[in-house]
Amino acid sequence: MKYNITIFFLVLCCQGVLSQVKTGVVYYGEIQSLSLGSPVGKDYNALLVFDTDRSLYTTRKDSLEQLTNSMKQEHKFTFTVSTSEEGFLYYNDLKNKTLFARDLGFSYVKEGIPKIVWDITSKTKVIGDFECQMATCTFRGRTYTAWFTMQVPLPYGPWKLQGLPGLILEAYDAHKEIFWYFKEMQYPSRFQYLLKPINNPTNEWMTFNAFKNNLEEKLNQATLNGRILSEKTGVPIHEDKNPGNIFIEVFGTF
Amino acid sequence: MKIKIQETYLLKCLERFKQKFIGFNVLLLILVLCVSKTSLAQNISISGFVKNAQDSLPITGTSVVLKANNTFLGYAYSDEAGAFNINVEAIYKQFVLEVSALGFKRYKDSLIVMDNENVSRNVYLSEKIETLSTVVLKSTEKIEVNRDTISYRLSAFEYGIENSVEDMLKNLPGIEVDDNGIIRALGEPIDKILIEGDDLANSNYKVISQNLDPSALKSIEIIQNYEENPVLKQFLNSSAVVLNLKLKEDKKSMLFGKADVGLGLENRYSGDLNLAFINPNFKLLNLGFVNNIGRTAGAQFSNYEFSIGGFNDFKKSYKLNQNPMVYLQGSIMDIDEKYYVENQALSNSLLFNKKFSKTLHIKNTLYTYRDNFKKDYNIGYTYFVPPNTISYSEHNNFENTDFSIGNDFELQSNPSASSNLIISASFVYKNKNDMNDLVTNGNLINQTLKSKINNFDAQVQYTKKLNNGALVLDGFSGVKSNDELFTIHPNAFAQDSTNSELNTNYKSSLKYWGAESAFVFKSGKTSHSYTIGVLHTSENIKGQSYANKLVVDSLSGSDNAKKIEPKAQVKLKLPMGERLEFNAIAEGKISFYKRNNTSSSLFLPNADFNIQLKEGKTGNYRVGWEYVSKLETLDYYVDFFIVNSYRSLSLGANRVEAITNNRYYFRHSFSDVKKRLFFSTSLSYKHFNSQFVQEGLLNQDFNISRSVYTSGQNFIFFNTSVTTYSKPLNMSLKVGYNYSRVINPSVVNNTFLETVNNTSGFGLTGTSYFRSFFNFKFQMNYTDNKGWNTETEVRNRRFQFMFNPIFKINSEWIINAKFKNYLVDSIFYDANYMEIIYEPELKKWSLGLYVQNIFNKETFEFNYLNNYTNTNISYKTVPRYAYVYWRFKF
Repeated sequence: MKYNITIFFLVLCCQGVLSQVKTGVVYYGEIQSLSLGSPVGKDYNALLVFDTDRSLYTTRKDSLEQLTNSMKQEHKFTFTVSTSEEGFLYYNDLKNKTLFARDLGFSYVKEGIPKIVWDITSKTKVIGDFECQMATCTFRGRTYTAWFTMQVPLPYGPWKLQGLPGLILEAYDAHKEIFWYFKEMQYPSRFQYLLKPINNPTNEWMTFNAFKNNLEEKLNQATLNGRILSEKTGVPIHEDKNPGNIFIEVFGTF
Repeated sequence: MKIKIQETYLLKCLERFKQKFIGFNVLLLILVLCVSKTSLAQNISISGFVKNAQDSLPITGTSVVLKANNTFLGYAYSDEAGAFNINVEAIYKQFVLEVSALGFKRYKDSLIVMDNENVSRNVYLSEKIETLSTVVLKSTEKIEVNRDTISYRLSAFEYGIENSVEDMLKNLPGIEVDDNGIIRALGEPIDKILIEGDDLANSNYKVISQNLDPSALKSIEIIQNYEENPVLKQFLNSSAVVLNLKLKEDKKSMLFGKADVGLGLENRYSGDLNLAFINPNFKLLNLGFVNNIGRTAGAQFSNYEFSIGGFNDFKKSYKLNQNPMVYLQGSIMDIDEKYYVENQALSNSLLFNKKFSKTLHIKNTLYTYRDNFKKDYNIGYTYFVPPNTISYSEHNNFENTDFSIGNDFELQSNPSASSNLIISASFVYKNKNDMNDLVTNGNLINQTLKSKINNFDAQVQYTKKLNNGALVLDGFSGVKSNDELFTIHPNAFAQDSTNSELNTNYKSSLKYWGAESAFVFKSGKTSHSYTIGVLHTSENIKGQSYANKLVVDSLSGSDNAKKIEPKAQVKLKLPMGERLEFNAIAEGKISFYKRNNTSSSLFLPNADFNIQLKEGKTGNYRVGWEYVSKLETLDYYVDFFIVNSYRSLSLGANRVEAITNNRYYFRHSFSDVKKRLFFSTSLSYKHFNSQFVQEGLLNQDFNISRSVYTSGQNFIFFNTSVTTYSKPLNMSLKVGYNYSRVINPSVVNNTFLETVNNTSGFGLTGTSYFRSFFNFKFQMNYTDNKGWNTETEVRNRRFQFMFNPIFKINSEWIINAKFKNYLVDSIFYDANYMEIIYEPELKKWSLGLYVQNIFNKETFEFNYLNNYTNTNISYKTVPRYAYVYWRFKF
């Protein structure tokens, strides 16, 4: 009996080592059109690499955009976002129940994996070869609709959307001002080397609250810039007091 | 539905307990206690372990889902020990348990659960080789999204105080409306306003933006790359932007509108009525108003001739304008006319749009208006000319009445994606009556001008798609006539002028027709087009002047001119890299001109080259050069004297020559976001190689002049500004400086005179953003005007200050006031108004009180300096009045 208990505990401990290390990859398109009312904004290439214990979502990275065909039409929008060498990263560590992020303003943020309360509906549709089910939730000020598939039974998804019984292939908010759409999936894939924790050069992680305060400060800055432009051109502008038109995560009423 | 994964650990312990030490009954008791501690009595619990069928090792992170009737009830992921637990409400009895993990075959089983029963199920999954490979889009491809439209959900932007679509537009980010009602979206002026995708008013969009009530709207869309021509839209980037008003569902097929009634002291009145009948295939809008509180009718129809700058201007207007021979409108000042011009206005526009089928579309606007203006002012002129300075003054009373009725019609047909036809026709009839009583030099003079204007223009455009481009064919024609009867009493030109009257009748007409064909291509990012065309015009001016029924020969005559102008034009838009763009237009025209019986031919080249550097490290730059050469209309060349006024006669140029000029320009803008500074500079230099100037004889009583050609007229314009935001003051501020220098050569009293006018000015403007019920905008300007020639030097200085406070007392009451003050020769003048608005919440009506000229100032005075003329004007103001208005929506 003692022997059995020992083996039992030994196996428990080794479970992490012996678990499958096959990784999968999903390519998403991420369209950011905050305040524009429909998905007409900039379309980024994004990547989700995952295995059974963790996932890493990468977006707005220089190397992901390099092979892109240039936009067919020219626009008059000016966006303050752009790509960078490392991009924005979201590392979902299921084992330690922690979400690490290299987020807006290149802030390194660490928080417990947010608990999202999903409402799974009976609506279904097919994306690619996958049968998907629809689920909705309200997360940090926005209402999201996500389509997940049980054929990939892992609680991952784009950005911070996670916690469904299957992988999220498509998600969007009420007006598709934030829109993630599915392009391609490969499992197993040759991207094991990409699935590693975020490299934080200072090793200092800010809390989510500190990050939130940072964003509010940036919103104030943007408002002041708008006032300058209005004075310069001599025509009045409307002040958008709605932070939902600037940031994805919205705090307070929306 | 709640998922209780935290129960798993507790159950794990209990399982081991059960296996090792404690009896079953005790276990059941503990289990029930644990479960009941955190869940309702009606829940059931399904728990168990998920293990590998081959080696019985637990599988972590398996997805376990509980369904009933294909509805998801609950789910959980197995933990490190492979354990799971799901708690759901006991509504169903029959469930399906699905367990899935990557690399394993899916497990599906049905369960029947009795009330309050807790089920334990251990699941063993068999391995399988799992490969998933699905491609919907390649990782580097993007989905097709129509990016031309931005939509604003109006519910997020309305404050309930908007009375017209224009007021609503001012609230939307990215849309600006200036003081003249010109709308810009995303920095570009808009072409038109559509309603549910249909165009009713064409470029007369102010008729809609200033009159239509916004409560019927659900959203406003900004549509970029707007191209009505479906053939050109397929490959050309139009830079046109339009607004599309989308109606609320209950307004999509019905009658609705708004009415406005106002009454006040001093016999003030105003009335406004909008009626709309909207249907997906048929739209009818009737907008009408009447008032004497300063809102004029003609201004809505003053066609801001919208021209799409840059490469794509294939929807341009070929209308030619005909100038009147006599202007009898009086002088105006630099402030809003409502403060010093008494008006009466009446206007009605009927806008109609109908789709007959998918490929046939008709729209029509029928409008009529009547404006009446009264002006009362004193004016003093001083001419700085050799041999002596001349001064005289007049006291003027003007009454101008304009009546107009017009119709614009357009038909569009596009039978297939590769061809499009547009036919448009418009006519306008105007009847103007201008009366002027003036006193000068102790004499009373009366001038009357009656004009009858008839204009008709038509245009046809056919577009056909080619392999990598399109062919655009345009044909156009028009007829214009103006019959002017000008009476001056007494006739100051005659020797015995006490009882005489001078009657002059001018009959002018313009007929034109022409055609153009253009080939447009796009290869890669470069667009180029080649156009050839021809224009034929025929002008006629006939003047007959009678003094006491005797013909005055020198003031009568007849002139006609015909010309045929073939032309060729090349346009190029060449992007060079990410940020640099080169634009070029080169055109050559040959004008075969026949005037009376003399023929001549002139070569008229035109060019515009510019380079733009966008978003460089030091900002945006644009550098360009423009060369213009053209011929003027016949009224510049008439060879008999035209009577301009009781003291002014003018003669046209004695030969036909091209007017040419060179313009060089430079623009720069730069923003430093961190320091919150925005810089902007522009410099432009224009040199006329050949331009008209007046060669005249001026004395105390008369001004007789003739147009001659000269070179040497020069303009320089410079302005620069810095805009910033001050955090401690909570205000945005702009400081600017502008400078201009104009050199005007002329010949006066047989002496060559070159007059230089220098104007420099400083300005400071600001807007407050206080978080209180009070906010304001202000503006301060100092202008220094200097003019000099060999005779003398004149200097005018003016200081101006504008203050606009807004009090938003609460959500129902607003007080708005505007004070415009200026200092002329140490005297302080003030033009002002105040408005108090009451908008009860959730009601369809609102009330307002408007007061103008609060301190009942009697006159306004201004100084102007232009070339060698210094003018001092003193206007009688519209006396103080107040009126109350009531607005109602239905």
